[in-house]
Amino acid sequence: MSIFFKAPLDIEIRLDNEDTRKHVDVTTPHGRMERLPIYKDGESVKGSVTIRTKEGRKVEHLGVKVQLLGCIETNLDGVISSEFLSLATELAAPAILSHPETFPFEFKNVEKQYESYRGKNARLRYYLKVVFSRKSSSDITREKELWVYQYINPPVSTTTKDGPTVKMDVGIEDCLHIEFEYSKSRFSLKDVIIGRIYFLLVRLKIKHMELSLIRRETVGAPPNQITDSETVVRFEIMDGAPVKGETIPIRLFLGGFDLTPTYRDINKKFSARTYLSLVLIDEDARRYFKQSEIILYRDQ
Amino acid sequence: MVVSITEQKQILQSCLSAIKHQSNLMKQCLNENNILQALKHCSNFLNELRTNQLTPKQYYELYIAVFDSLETLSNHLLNSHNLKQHKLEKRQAALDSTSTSDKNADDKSTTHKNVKNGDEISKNAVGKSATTPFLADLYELVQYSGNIVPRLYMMIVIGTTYMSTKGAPGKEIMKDMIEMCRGVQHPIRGLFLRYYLSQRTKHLLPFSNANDFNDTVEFLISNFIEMNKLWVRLQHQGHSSERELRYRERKELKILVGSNLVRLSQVIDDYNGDETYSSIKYYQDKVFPTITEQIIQCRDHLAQSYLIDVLIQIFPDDFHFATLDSLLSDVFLNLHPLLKKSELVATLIERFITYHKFESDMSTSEIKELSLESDEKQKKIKTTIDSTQLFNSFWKFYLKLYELDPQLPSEEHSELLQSFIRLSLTYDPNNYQNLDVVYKFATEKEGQIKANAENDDIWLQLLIVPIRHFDSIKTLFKLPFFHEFYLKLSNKQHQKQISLEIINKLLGITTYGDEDGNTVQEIHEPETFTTTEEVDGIFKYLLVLIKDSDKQNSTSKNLGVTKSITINKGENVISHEFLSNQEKICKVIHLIENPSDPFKNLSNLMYARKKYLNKNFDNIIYTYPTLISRILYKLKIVGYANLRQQKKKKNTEASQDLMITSNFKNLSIIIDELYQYHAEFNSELILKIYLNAASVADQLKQESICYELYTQCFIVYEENLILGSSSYQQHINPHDSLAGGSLQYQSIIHVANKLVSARYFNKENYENLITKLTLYGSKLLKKQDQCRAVYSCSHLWWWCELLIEHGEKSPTVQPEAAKEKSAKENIQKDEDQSSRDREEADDEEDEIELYRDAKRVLECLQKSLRVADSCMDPYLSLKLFVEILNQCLIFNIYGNALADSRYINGLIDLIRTNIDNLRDDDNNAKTDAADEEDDKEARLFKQSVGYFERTLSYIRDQQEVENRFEGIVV
Repeated sequence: MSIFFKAPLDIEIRLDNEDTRKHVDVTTPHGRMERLPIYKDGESVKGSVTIRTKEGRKVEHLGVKVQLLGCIETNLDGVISSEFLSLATELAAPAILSHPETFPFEFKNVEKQYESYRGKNARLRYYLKVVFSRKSSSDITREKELWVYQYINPPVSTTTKDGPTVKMDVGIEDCLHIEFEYSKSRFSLKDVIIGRIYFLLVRLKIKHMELSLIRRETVGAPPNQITDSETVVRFEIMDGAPVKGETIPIRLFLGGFDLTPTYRDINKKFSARTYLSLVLIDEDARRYFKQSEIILYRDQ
Repeated sequence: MVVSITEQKQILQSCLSAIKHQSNLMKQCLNENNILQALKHCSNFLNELRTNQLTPKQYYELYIAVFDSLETLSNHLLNSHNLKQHKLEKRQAALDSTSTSDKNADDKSTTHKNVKNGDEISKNAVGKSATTPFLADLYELVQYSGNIVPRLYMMIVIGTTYMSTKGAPGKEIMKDMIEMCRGVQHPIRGLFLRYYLSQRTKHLLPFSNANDFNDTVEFLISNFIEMNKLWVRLQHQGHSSERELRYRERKELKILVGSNLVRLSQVIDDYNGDETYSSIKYYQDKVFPTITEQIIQCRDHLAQSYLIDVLIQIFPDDFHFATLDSLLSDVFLNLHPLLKKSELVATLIERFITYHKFESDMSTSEIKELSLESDEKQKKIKTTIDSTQLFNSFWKFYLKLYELDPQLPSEEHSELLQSFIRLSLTYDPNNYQNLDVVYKFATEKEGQIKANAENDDIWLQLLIVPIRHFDSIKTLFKLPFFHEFYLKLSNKQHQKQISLEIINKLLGITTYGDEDGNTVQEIHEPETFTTTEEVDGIFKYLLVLIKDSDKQNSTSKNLGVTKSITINKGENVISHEFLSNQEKICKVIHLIENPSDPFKNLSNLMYARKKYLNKNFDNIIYTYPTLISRILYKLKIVGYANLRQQKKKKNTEASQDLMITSNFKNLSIIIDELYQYHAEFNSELILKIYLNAASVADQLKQESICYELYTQCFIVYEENLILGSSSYQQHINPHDSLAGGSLQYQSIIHVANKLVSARYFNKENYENLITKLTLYGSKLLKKQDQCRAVYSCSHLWWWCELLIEHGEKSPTVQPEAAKEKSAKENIQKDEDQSSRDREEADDEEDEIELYRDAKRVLECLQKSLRVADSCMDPYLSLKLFVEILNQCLIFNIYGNALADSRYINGLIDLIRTNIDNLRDDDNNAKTDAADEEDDKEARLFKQSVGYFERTLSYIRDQQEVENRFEGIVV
């Protein structure tokens, strides 16, 4: 198809300082790595669009515009996309393009509500789209994806913002009774989870204990909702069977893992939450676990 | 999960090879300076430590392999850290020099010290930002490791490396590591991990000031506590059928736990403390309570016994002295009820004893140059150790222990008490009260617990220990309860053993085995017993030996185990051992000695007999002879002293005389007792004893007693010896005059020997005795015995020696002489009477009076000649003739007028005739077949002829040289 309907021109989107800008590596749905430039909330998106005709042909157009779009794509019964951000700038009035031309553009202080996300059934993407409108045939478009980080400034006082220490008292009657405690429930992505586990009663033959971080992605509204869980981190915190009265320390550095901030009901479309799960494995490989959600955020 | 041994070996091998492989990879990466990759390999081989299929020993092999690899990692990290540091320093120095170039441009090359200063500054200023993060980052990085065991090992290796660099937050890292180690709750893995931690931190522990020191101690203690918990927990792992296995495994691992305490003691040792707070105090207040609490709480048998042992062994003695009370009463009492406290107490006491020895060695060889400080220190130590206090502490503990657990097995009691005794003996050798307390308790205790024979074994040692220890056995007398306890021993065998021990000690025989297994005996000067109390003290322990009779011998004899001795003509069989025991008792009798007061001594000897020695009449045959000879010896001393006094003062002290007399009486009672019970087999011995006593009595001028004793001799002879068979004696050659002869003959000769030297009889008594003896002699069964006995007895009528002091007169002669004088006037008696008068006159001239009766002598000689003649065997009679000839010659020399030359010539002629006759017979016989019988006779004949010729040549010699034997024709 491309042989016959090959677009008669090249559109290139260049961003200012693209070489020096920070990039992030993300995996495409096809499993390849992709390097995307990072933008912050409120940051201007500035760049230029260069359009070259091929083989010196003249191409007539009805106008060229560049759009900055933010959309959420969900995978519920086919891909449904809904835009939550749409900005557009006219680059050129209808004319005939005969030689390469470069148009600078700038979206000033764009508010980017959400952080980019690429999950299994949901994606939140920001991209630039250049539309080259033609009279006769379909428009020629060119997209360039951006990656947006949503920084949340570190809360002033930890107790109020990070939430109180999380204390939980769980157990199986006459079998196991543990109490665990995390210093807080809100963590920045570079944070450390610190806590401890008290064993009040141990009748199980525990082999080891793990802490895992589970990302749970929920797409859609309740009746037809798809939930997908993925264990991001698995971290052994105890080896062997403790006895009554033992305290096991927890320390988990988050910085090194591929975690996402917590997405909570983004545009009523999807959520991506992270759960901290404490798993006890006994000698017969039975697993006992307790999950509790933690709020992750990105800070500077 | 059951893994067979071979499988385990395979697993071990594969683990080891994996470790080797991965650590090689790691080293490669390190060489390429690819630290991240290296850490990955490191983590890989650390993963091998996660196995739980290996025994502790095999796991230890893994651990060692891993340990080595981690050391290389640590070294590399340290080097690269230093390299970076160095570079940074250079840069810093460059910066410094540029900024301060105007000040001192040659700063760099001045001194090393400056560089060092710069180094510190750079650390403080720049280090924070640039250098430390290298290791700190790694420390954080390794914590991403998903598995806890590798993670912690890496944390420790990097953390400790980090600690070893300057300016690192050492204490924080230390605390962090020990905190995180809690994550490993598996006993074996946890133990090794924590052991690794303690090994790595060994040289990094801070204790420059009190605060640091506190933290260090806390660190060590908490590591110890956790390790101990793990160690105890190991016991409860797995199936209950593997209990024993677990126990063994734990024993193998104990050193890991103990190493913590060792380190702790080293740290405390290195820490000098400040002036106000000594290390002892520190130990007492902080370390000791925490550790012991942990030990008590773990409620584990193995852990408690091992750890208390370690505690005792590794901390200095003065620490133990300081905490002794609480160690005993708070700790020991609260230990596992089945735990043998005695072992622990024994170790502790052993330690104190060694310390004491060391101290005394030190004080003896103390050099004056010792600094004042150490002198003070020693003084301080000495004051802290109050020996009575020490003993009391132990004793209090013991009482409490007993109170808490009255069911305590006897072994425990015994062990404990033994230890106490040793302690008391070492620290306070002169305080017998302590010992007595121990024995008193033991006595009561023994009364409560039904003693059986097995138990005795245990108590035995208790008694033997002090015996071996005391310098003087008399010390025992000061312990009244020692004897009571001794009596409680139900097993006679054990009592005997102790008694023997006492005796050996007493006799100064210390027996110990040398390398060859032979027993070597060392003899010391023994001590003596002077008072009745002492005699009592010692003999009450000997009683068991005195009473002992060797009855159980039969079985062992049947088995041929013991060599035995046959006595009483095979009626009884006894063992060597028994005999030597009896001998030892005799030796003890010799020790009853009081040189200053012989009478007291005598009464002590009598006392010993009455109260102890006569307890078993079967055995008095072994002990009485010694006793009697002792008594005689003492009596002799007393008697001579008495005689001398008499001579000086010319008046007799009746009381002394009386006492001697009574002692003799007692003595004869003793001998009589012996005779009563042993007349059957030992009359000969008893006869000799009587004779001895009699001769002593004679020397002491106790005539009546002496007479009595001789009479006793005759009674013994008549009652037993006369009929006594000599079956056990070998055949005696009748031709041999010196070979003895029958028992009867010998007895007579014995008596005669004694009588011939008796000087203080009056004549009547003396003649009575010798006449009687001669009569006995003449009634002997065999001719040759008769003959010889009679010619021997003839000497009794012809004294040849004075034997008494010059100037004294023998009562045997005196009254007779007086009688003679009165009789002389009336009747001139027969020839020999006059001749005796003449002789006596001669004697008087010489002022020598000897009892002589020539007529009787001649009668005896005639009698013996007659007997000799009546012998059926001509050769024997020839021999006897020659013997009689010799006797005649003796009498001739000593002036017996009746044995004159005429008589002797006649005898010589008689012998010659006999010889000629026999020679003719012989010649006649020689024509016949010369058989063996004749050969023998010829030999006997030759002997007799030779004897005769020697006698003749003697006569000739005497005639020429001494002008004797006038008129004898040879």
